[in-house]
This record gives sequence, C-alpha cells and structure tokens, in this order.
Amino acid sequence: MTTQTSELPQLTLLDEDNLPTESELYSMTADHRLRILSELRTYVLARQAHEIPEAIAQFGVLISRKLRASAELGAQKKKRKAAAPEVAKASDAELF
Amino acid sequence: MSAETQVNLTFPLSVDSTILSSFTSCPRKFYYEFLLKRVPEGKSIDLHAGGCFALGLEIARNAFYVENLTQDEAIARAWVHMVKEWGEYTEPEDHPKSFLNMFGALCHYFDTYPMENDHFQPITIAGNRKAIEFTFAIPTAVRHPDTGEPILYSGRCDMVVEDREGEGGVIFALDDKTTKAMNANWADQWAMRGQFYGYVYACRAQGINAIGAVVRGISILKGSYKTAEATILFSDEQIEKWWLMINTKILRMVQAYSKYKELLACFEEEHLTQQPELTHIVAAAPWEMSYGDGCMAYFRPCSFTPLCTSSEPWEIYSDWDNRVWDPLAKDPTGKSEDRFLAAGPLELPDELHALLWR
Repeated sequence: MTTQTSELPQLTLLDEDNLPTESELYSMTADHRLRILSELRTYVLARQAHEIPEAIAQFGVLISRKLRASAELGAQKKKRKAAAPEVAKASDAELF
Repeated sequence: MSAETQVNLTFPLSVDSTILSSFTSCPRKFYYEFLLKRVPEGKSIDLHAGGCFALGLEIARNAFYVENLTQDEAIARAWVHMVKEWGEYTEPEDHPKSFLNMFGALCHYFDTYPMENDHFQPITIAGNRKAIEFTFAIPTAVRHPDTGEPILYSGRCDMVVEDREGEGGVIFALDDKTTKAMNANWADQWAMRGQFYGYVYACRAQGINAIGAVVRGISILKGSYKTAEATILFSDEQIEKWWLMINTKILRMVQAYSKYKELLACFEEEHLTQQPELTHIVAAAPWEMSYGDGCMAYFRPCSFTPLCTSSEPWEIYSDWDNRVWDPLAKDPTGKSEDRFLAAGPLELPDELHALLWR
C-alpha cells in the first residue's frame, strides 16, 4: 500500500532543512521539547524506517537525550529535596 | 453453561528456557500459558520495553558491525526503529520503563560499552554472518506426543562474541538484561540459569567452542542507570548434565500431557458432551499447582492466580488473551501462530541427526 506524501503527518514545530542546534535546544522549555519529540515520533510512525532522513534521526537522538538528561536532573533534585528535611533534623539534633 | 466442550491443547513443537522454567516453577502455569495458550489481557510493560530495547541493540549492532556505520549513525538508526517498535503504547503512569528511558538506556549502554572499543566483538559464523541475534533449534531425544518428531530446544542469544582482551580467541555467548533494580548480588544469580547453558550448548552443537556466557545488565531507574557484567564458565560435564536434565524435563512434560489423553479416553464421549466441564477438569489434572514459590514472580502474585483460585476457571478463559509463544522471536509474544507448526514437517540435517542419537 502506498501513501500520498500530502496525507502523511508533517513537521510543524521544526524546519526539516534547518533543525535546531544543541544550544538552541537548551533555550527551549522542557514542555516545548516534549511537543517536538511527540511530533517527531508521529512523523516516524507514519513512514517506513528507510524514508526517515538521517538528519531527522540524528535530531531525534539529540532531543531524546536532552529530555532524558533533564528528567535525570529533575529526579536528582527531587531526591535531594526529599532528603533535606532529614539533614535539617540531624543538624537540629546536633545543635541541641 | 458456557464452558467450552473442547479443550484445545497442543503440545509445543519447540521449547525454550522460558517454557521449561515455567514448567519447573509450576506445571499448572505451564498448562495455562503454553498448552492452553492463555495470558492476561494486554501486554506487560516489561515485555514491551525489554523487546524495544533488544531491537535497538540489534539494529545498532548490525548497522555498526555489518554496515560499518559509525556508532552515532548506528544509534540514530536504532532510534527510528525503537520509535516504530514502541508505537502508541502508553506505559503505566510514573513507570521507569518509558520510551525516553529505554532509549536513554540504549545510549547509556553504548556509552559504557562503545562498539569500537568493546573487548567483546561478535564472531563471524557460517554464511559470513555476524553472530548477532544468534538463533538455534536443536532436536532433543524426546518425541513429540502428537507428531512423533523430535521436540526442539530453541532460543535466541543476543550475540556470540570473542573476547579480544589478553590473548584473544575466547568465545562467549553474550546476553543483555534490563532490570529495575540492581543489587550487590545481581551477578550471582546467573550461574545456574538454564538459558545460558542452552546458549553455550547451541554454540558447541554448531562447532563454536564457547566456554561460557557473559550477562550484561542495565538497571533502568527514573533518575539513573547502572550497568553490571557477570561471566559464567561452563565445563563440558556441566553442559552435558544440563542437556540430560533438559531431556528428562521435556520427557516429564510429555508424560503429563499423555496422562491427560489417557484420562480423557476413560470417559465416553457422550458423558463428556453432557458434562463439558469434565474435559477441563481432566485436562488440568496432570499439571500440579505450586502452592509455593511458583505463585509469586518478580515480587508480584503469579498472573494466573485468578484461574488457580477459581472453582470453574474455564468459565473465565475467554477473558484472557490467546497467545502463542515463539522462542525464536525478538518479541516471543508478538505472533499468534506457531512458527514451527507453520513450517511443516521437520527435516533434520545429518549433523543434527547425529546429535540427536549420540
């Protein structure tokens, strides 16, 4: 079965010929990055694997890695925050 | 009475380590899952995410080792295939095995074990192929209760590798495992795992002198990854003992299956038609229930608990999915047809005949 190109979902948040650089990705909000990734996944799902341009695949890797790194940072912060009251308690005990 | 009057049991033409483990931990679980081919509805996140990760590894390795792409290009190709494999699947909320985390795990894996410098490199096997996703199906000495053909022991190993460290030339079966948590004893759990004996036996059966197995594990947590590696060495004696044990176990499975047929033959057909539940009772009878460790798996109650605790389990069979386990597939749960059945009668090459009858 062949699908007309016009029927395929296109990229609206990205310019395929001028994909954001790593530093441009940094300046985006996590929410915006997530929307871009979601659109990329829809784009890939609608096409055969060999039809996906190399640059799009490379960009998919970059944005996925960035999002994962942000999530890791978030999880670490959360962990530190959760541990903080215990640290505070311990120092209080030491003081008194 | 809505019970099915016929119990559609078929004994698998091929068994693997998963099927054998199931039979060992609880014969009744084996009966439900691999003879009745019933599984809980939906696909487990662990199987889906694990399959997606395994596909990513396979794609990246083929791109790098076979097509000579760079590691970055290989990972980009893996990303595309992982996106497609993941599809529209929605993981349970807050589950660590999300698409992003599984792809992140792949990147972390190749950051830890870069393909170019990895001292484990895939070997080249017959047909000038790299031993990536090395599949095998070896005839056992046990005959299938319905077809009379030898029952096959089959499997799929992630890679067969040569260790290039030191003098080189030492061969291992390499398998990758994803896990949630990885404790200090992680590496100790594999020494008696039949799956790895099977890989080494299969290598040796094909003239590849593998001395053991390497298990690489990656734990996938929300905030971090951890990797660990375990190496297991097997002597010839250990491997021979395992093969004998496997054949014995399969024989016990066939005997239990034959017992069901013998029991069924004790009843007149009219009697069975009038009391369809009798067929189900007779079919399940030879398969013992664990009432022990087999009732828990991965810190959760066995997924067949609702059937085991029901007085009329056949009444709820239709609430369960029908699934054929394919030991040779990356995703063994992906198909609904038995590949060995579809392939028709078995034609054994001479060297496998020799193995079978030695």
